[in-house]
Amino acid sequence: MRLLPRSLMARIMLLHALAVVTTAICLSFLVDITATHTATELQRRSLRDHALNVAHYLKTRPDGTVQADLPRDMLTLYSASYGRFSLVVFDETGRELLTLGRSSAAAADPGKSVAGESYSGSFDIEQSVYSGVFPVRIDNRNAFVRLSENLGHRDALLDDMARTVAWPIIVAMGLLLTTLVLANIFIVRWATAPLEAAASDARAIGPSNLSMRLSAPSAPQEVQPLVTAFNIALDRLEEGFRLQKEFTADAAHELRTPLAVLRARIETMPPDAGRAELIADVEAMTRTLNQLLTVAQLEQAEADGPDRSDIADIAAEEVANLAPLAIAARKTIELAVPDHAVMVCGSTQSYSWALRNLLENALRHTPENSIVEVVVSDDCTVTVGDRGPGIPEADRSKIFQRFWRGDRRNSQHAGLGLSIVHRAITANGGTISVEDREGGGALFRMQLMRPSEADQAA
Amino acid sequence: MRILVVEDNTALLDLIQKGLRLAQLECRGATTIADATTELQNDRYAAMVLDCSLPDGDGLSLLDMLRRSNNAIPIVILTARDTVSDRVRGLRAGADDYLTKPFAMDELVARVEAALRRSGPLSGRALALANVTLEPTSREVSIGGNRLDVSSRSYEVLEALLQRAGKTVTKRALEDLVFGLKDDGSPNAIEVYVHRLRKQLKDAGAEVEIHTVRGVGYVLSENR
Repeated sequence: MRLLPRSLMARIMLLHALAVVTTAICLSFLVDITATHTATELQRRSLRDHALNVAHYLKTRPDGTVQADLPRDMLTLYSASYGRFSLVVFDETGRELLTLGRSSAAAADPGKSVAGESYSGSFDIEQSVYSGVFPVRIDNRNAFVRLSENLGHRDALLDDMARTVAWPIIVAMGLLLTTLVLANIFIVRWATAPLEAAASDARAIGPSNLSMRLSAPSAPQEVQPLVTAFNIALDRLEEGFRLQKEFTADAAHELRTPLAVLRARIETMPPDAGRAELIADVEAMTRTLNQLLTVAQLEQAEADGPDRSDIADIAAEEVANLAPLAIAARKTIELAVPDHAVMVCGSTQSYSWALRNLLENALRHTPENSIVEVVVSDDCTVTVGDRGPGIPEADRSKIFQRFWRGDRRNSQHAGLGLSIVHRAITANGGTISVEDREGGGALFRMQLMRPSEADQAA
Repeated sequence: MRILVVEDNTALLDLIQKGLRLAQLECRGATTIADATTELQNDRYAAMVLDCSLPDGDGLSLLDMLRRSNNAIPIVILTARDTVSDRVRGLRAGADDYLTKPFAMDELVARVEAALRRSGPLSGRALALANVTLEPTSREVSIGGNRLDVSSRSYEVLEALLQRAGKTVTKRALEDLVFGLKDDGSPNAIEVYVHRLRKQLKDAGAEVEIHTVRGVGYVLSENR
C-alpha cells in the first residue's frame, strides 16, 4: 500500500496508466503476430502456386531425372543474376532429380526426408528466406519440389502494411486510450463528488451545532456505511457533551446544598467559637467550587456558539457586585466607561466570569486604601489596574496557567482565577496581557473582538 | 404572616426555618412540590422560599403554575445553579429574587424581607441600619432617635440605599426612582442629592456612610 499515492484520484490514475501501457504492449504484440502470420501465409501460398506452376513444365527424362521446359519469363526468375528463386526436385527416396537457380540456397535447406508439404520462413534484417516443400506429380510419378525464395530485403508488402495499417492502428489506439483516461478522470470526479459534498458538510459540524448530521440519502451506496458510521460517532459525541453538561449541573447541586447546610450550621454557632474563621473557610471552598464549575461551564458556553454582548454593561454589573466587598476590605474600586454600549464578540456569561475573577484577583492584591481601576474604551479594550506588588517579568507567561499561584503558601486560593480569565477572553477571539501599572501595581489589558471583526474572520 | 419554605434537604430546611424565626418571621416547611401545593391551598402564606430542584420536579414549574393561576405570592428562589441564563430563566418565570447556594442566612432573611416589603405585608415596617431609622408610613428619618429633616428626593435616595444596604445601588436605578420617566434631572442631580444627604447624615452623627463607587453607583454601609 505504501507504493500507492495517498490520493484516491492519483491511485486511480496510476493504476489506469499501468492498465493502458499493458494494453498498448499486448495490442502491439497481437498486431505484430497477426501481421507476421498473415504475411507468412500469403508468402506460402504464393510459393505453392509458383511450385505447382513450375510442375506443369516438368518432364521425366529416360534416365529418371527431370527436365524443365520453362518459358523464358519464368526461366529468368531462376537465373543466377536474378538470384531470387532456387528450386530442387527430388523423388520419394530423396534423390535429387533437378536443380534450378542458386543451389546454395537450396542445399542449405534441410528437410530432404520430409514426405508431406512443409514450409518455413524467417525474417531477419540481412535477408529473408522462405522455402517450402510441395508434393507434385510428374508423369504419374510422385515427386517433391523444394522451392526457396530469397527476398534479400524486407518485402515491400510488410513495409506497406506497417505504413498503411500499423500506424493508423497505433494512432487510433493512442487517441482511444487518451480519451479513455480523460473520460475516467471525469467519471471519477463525478462519482466522488458526493464524497466531497459529505466532507464539506462534515467540516461545518462543530461543538456549537452538534445536532447536525451528514445527509445519508444523497451519498452513493458505497459511501453510505462511512456516512452512517460518522453519524453514529456524532451521536455518541453529542451524548457525551450532554452528559458532561448534566454532570456539571449535578455536581453544582450535589456540592452546593451540603455547603449551604454547613454554612447555615456554622452561622448558628456562638461567635466566640471561631465562627468567622469557619465562615471564611466555607467561602474559600465555595469560591473554588464556583471556579471549577466555571471552567467546565466555559467550555459549555463555547459550545453554545457565537454571541455578542455589551462589555460596558457587564463591567458596570461586575464592579457593582464586587464594590461592597472592596468597601468592606477598605479598598476602592472605580469604573470608567463610555456612556454608550461597547459591543464585543462573546457571551455575557463568559465576560462576567472573566471580569469577576480578574477583579477578585486585583482586590486581593491591592493594599488597603488603594484604588482598583477598571477602564472600558471604545476600541474594545478593557484594563484592570491594581496597586499590588505587580507581576514580575519572569512570571508573566505563567500566571494564566491553571493552578498557578504566586504565593504557594496561600491555600485560600486554588489558582484558577486568572486561567478562567484567560480562557474566557481567548475563546472569544480576544487577547490578554499584563504589564506594570504606572505608579506601581499590575495592569491587565484585554483587547476584545468587535462583532464586525469576527464577521470578517469567519 | 407566614413564610412557606420548600426545600428537599431536611437539614437545610430546618436551618432556614430557624433563621427566619430568629428574624421574627413565622414559617412552615415542605419538601416536595406536592406538599407545597397542599400547604398553599390549606393556608395563607405571605411569601415563599423555593428550592429549584425537588424530588418531584423543578421548583420553577411550581412557580410557573402559581403565576398562571394569578397567585402573586412573593417568591425567593434558592438554587444550586448560578449561570446568567439560569437566573434569567428564574426571573422570567416570575421569581421576585434569586439566591445561589451556599448563602448567608442574613442575606436570605434580607431578601425575604425585601420581597415582603415590595409586595405589601412589610411595606409599613421601618428600615434601619445602625442608628439610622426610616419610617415609610410617615416618611420620617431619625438618627439615634432624633428626627432629621430631609427633602423628599433625599428621602427617596436614602430609602433606596437602605433597602439595599450593603449592596451597590446604581446611579441609573436612583435616577429612575427619583425622576421616574420624567427626564427632568440634570446628569449630576443624583450626585448633588447624595452629596447633600451625606453631609446631613454626618452632621447628625449617623453611624452609616454612603460610599461612592465611581462610574457605577453608591453603597450604604455601617461605619467601622
